[in-house]
Amino acid sequence: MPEFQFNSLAELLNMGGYAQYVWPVYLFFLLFFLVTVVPPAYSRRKIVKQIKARLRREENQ
Amino acid sequence: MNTLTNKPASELGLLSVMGATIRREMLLAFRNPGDVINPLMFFVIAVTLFPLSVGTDENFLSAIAPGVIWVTALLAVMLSMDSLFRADFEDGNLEQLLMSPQPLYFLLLAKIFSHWLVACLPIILLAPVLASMLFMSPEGMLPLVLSLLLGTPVLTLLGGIGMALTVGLSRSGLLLAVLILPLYVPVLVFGTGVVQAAINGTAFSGLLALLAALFTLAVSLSPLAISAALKISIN
Amino acid sequence: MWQWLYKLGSPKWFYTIGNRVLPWLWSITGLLLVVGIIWGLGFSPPDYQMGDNYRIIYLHVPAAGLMKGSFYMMALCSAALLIWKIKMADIVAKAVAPIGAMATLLMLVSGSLWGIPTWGTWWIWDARLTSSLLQFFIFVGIIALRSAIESRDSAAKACAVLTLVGLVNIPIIEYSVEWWNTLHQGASDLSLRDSSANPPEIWIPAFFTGFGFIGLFFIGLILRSQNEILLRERRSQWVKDLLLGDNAKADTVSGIDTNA
Repeated sequence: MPEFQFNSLAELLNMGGYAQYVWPVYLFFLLFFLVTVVPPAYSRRKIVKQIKARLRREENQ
Repeated sequence: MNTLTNKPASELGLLSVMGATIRREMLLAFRNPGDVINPLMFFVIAVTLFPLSVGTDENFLSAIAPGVIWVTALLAVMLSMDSLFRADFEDGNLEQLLMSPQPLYFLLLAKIFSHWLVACLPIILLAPVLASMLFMSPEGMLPLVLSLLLGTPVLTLLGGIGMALTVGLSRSGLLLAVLILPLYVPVLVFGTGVVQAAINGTAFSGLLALLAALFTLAVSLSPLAISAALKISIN
Repeated sequence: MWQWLYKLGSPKWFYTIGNRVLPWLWSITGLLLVVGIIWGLGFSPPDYQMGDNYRIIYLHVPAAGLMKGSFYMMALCSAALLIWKIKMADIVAKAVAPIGAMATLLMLVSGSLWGIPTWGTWWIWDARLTSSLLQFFIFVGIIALRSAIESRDSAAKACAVLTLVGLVNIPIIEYSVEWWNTLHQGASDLSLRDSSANPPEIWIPAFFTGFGFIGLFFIGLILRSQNEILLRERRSQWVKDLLLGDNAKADTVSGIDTNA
């Protein structure tokens, strides 16, 4: 079982002095994740709403 | 213009019409993201071409950086001018603009301001990043942004004159370049001069003031030239 | 197996299969990414040269893989569209392009940030970064072309042509940039893969994040493709049934069908 490399949370956040390089990358990954997943989900709701509205309108005619 | 409010045209105040013009242009730009992205991408790609052609020697790149950034920004602005009047010309909006009861001078200023916001501001914001990629000295960064802030409106206004002259022509592409590139030279010279002076450590505020003078001249006089040119082109 | 691939060519089946696959994909991807990131950040030993900075590779390498993979998938779809006229291929290509572009950005950003302590500068005109930058431009170009052409079918074909042109060009571009780079060798080329005295356990988290990225890629692909399918097929009966029939409350994002 590999051992945890840092002795405290502060050390983990500090990343051996490289915190200002490592954490922004992981944050950008979070952005990448969100951009890949959130806009399509948001569009889905919008599209479904639009199509449903138009279909109901056509049904009522 | 009076489709954006409910009042009849003659009652609209000038500022509200200018505001409405700017809002309309922003909306159009939002619907055509290409108008924002394409000049910016051209700017970035063209800058990238330089290290690929002249090599990656840090000293050399940093020496040519101010000029490269300024020239490519200038070309990007010039290429973006096509979106200023062409769409309006093709759907007849330009004629409406000329017939509007509001003074054409201010409507043109509003239109050009919106175009500057959409096409030039992203370039200005990205310029320091690209300058850094070309290893430009940090003393040049702020002067670069300032010179572009003052210079790109002038480029847009002068470009507006060129566009107004050629909008009626079917294949005006490079003709526009031939017309306005000579006019761009003073802006280029003073713009790069500011950055170069800052890098060399000499005072650059004098050159910046000259740029500001060009800016003032352009803002006050070019709308006149543009309206004259538009009236010629529309006929 | 071929029959299954055949089915994917039908928008309705793609949508349905997508919905069935998504829940699994979410859980597996989530697991892989969480394990990979936590392991990479906390458990693998620090590099003897670069200290903890190297932990960036756990994101940089999969991002680079995604960049290449997306483009190959786009090229495959472009060929499918042009040769066999499979419309679904265009939908997938359209869905993948922004994912590929974003992955390239992640690769460039992570590469730059890795580079600051290593090379002393955030940008270096080395072969790999420069090629990736050009690849990013190509992605943006394809996306821009699609939004510039109004007719959907013309846009599809134009993007397909552009993508294939890009596919042929990319090895040429990379070769020329390599050649250019050897001419203008600036700082010593400290490649990210220089793992001289590093134990092999360093690569285990990369295994997890790598597959996690692939899962994420397919999640994005499926979600975006499904959106496009709904838009294009909105007049067809199966869409009407899906959205209106039985007042379907199928959760169309996570794929969990609360009706079934």
